[in-house]
Amino acid sequence: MYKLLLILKYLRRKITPMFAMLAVTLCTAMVIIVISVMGGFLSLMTESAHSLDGDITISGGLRGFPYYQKLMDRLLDAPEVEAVAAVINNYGLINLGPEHVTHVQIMGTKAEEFDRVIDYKEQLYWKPERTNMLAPETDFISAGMSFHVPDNDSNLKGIVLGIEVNHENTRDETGHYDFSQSIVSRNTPVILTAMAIKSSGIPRPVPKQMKVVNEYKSGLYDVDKLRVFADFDFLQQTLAMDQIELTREDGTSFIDPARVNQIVVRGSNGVSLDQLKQTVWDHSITFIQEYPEANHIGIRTWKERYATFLGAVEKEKIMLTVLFAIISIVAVGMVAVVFYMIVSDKTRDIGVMRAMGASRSGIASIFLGYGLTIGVVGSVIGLALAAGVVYNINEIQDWLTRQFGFTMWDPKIYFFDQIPARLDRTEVVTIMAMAILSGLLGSLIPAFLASRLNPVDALRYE
Amino acid sequence: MRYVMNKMKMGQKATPQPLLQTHGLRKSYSIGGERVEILRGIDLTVSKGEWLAVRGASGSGKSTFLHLLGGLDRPDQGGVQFAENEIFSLGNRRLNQYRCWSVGFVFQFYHLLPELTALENVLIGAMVGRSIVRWSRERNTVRRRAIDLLDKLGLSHRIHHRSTKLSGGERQRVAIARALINDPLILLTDEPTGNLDTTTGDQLLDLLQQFHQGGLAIIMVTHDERIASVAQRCVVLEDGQLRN
Repeated sequence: MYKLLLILKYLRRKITPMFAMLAVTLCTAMVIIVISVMGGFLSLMTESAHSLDGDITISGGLRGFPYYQKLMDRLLDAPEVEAVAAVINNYGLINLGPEHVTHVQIMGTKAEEFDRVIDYKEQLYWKPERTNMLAPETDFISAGMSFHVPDNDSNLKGIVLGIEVNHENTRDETGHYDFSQSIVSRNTPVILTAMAIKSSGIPRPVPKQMKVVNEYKSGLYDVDKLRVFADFDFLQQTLAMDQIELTREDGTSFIDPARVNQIVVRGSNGVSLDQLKQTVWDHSITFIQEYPEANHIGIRTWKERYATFLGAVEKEKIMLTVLFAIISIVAVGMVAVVFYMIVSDKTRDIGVMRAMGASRSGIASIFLGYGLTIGVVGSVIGLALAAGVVYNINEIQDWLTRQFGFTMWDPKIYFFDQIPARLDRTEVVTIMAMAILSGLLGSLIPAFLASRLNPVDALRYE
Repeated sequence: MRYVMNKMKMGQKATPQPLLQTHGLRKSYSIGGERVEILRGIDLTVSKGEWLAVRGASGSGKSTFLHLLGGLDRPDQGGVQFAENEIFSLGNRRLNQYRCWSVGFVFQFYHLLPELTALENVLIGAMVGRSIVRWSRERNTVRRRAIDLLDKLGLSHRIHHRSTKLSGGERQRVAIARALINDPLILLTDEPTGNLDTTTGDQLLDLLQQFHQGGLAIIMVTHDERIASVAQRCVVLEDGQLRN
């Protein structure tokens, strides 16, 4: 009982342990905030990566693979599959002006079908709330879905550009794009040069004049600066991947079936990725056995496709966690130093307690309990501080920007316009346990020293 | 040991027994690499309820002697018997119990815990020897006894004051209450008035006299002949040995 009384009294009446508690609080808060921001960043990246190409992609190289509709029909019959979409996937150049030519990844989609696999419509950036001031009469969402140019008098096809493809699109300090130039110049045709791959494998550039009907923002900079979308049928024809009748050297003719480069698959709710991959794999094997011309297709889950990209962020998070764990050793050292000072300061009290019959273990447990309390209180305050920061991190940043013109998270640089942060219960519990342990570890040696003090020496201590 | 002591309390009037005995007590310290013998074979018997003064010059080993009697230090040779038990052959746990229940210490510089109030300083002496369960059972009784003791010592108006806010005399009275909270059989006091003015010192001796009349044995170490004269018996510690 006396241990509890002394721990409480020492906590309330001494300023020195407050420094130890402050060290634990700051270390806890710092690690939780960093882990939460990194975790939020990673989970947002993961969500964005997942939303790019559905759960599974079946790819057939740049030449594509035939009889894709057969495979799509089979997959749609499987209960594990929610939706599928065929995609023409190609690379080329886009000319947005004399000085503005850039390479792009061209995706030909049937937008309605594609939207059932990924939230394509949601990712179209020219939404009424953003465009009403500039072009109130135009429905850019419908245009982005159909690739029809509104008020078209030249029969040009529409194209949707990744928001970063046009270098004139800039982000302000709140992360929103100033795309007024894109909208204003939408009537100026752009030239898309795709690479049709002949049956011999030799690419043949095919330039097409098109008009920008919308822009697309996935949230991943590397994707948004590379991807453009066009109508599936238009692109299939342009790249000579549609069904055509060809003539052999002996004069006989044959049908070269339509091809696609990719089928994207979305799994039904509750179906695991592995389960879905197995289903797609089984159907693809049967399909290849039936149509050996398609034997070069490959199946990859979204996690496999973006493994390198997500792995890098994951490793960065682990590295930062390790770095901060090392920094947390400072907290242990701080607690140890503070406790050593307290033990020195309390040497005579220890002698008095021993004279009153307190055991060595009793003396040690006062300081261990004290360290434990500092760890618990420090980590709880640290958690509260971290939660306050994490839940208001964007407001804090806005305030810093307003007051000091200082921007921690520049949306012009990062993928996302808001600082992504989320508290993970397991991570928080682990960090708090580590903080409590650091308080306990820091007090361990001083507590041991206190318990070994000779009562007579302690009483004579000056 | 407590059981033995309780038996002794009951039988006090019928057969007075020696309470504390030392035999051949020797203690030396290493000072500047040289071995200095402080106590050179001390034999002493203190009876129950006796008030003994141990007088000696500064540095004569009075405090060392008191620490050995209280089990705070170990002798090089010889031993201390309390209620027929050799205290240095007790295990650590029982030696702690001896310090807690059988003897009470009063130091020259009071040694109160500065974070605690007067009452808490007294209560902590009782808490040390009690488990949480026992404490929760006996808390009210102990608290009443602590308040009674402080009241007897004239501190009823100061019980909730921090020890740092008390005067020297008040602090020493709190230290006495703390030493007596577990109702020990013997009080070991080291220069109890050494840090007090004469009037306050005399008041304190009067209080000790009252407790002594209640049956408490006191061993009082002092360098002051006048203070020592209050005791029933006085011995002088000189050259590491006791003289009557």
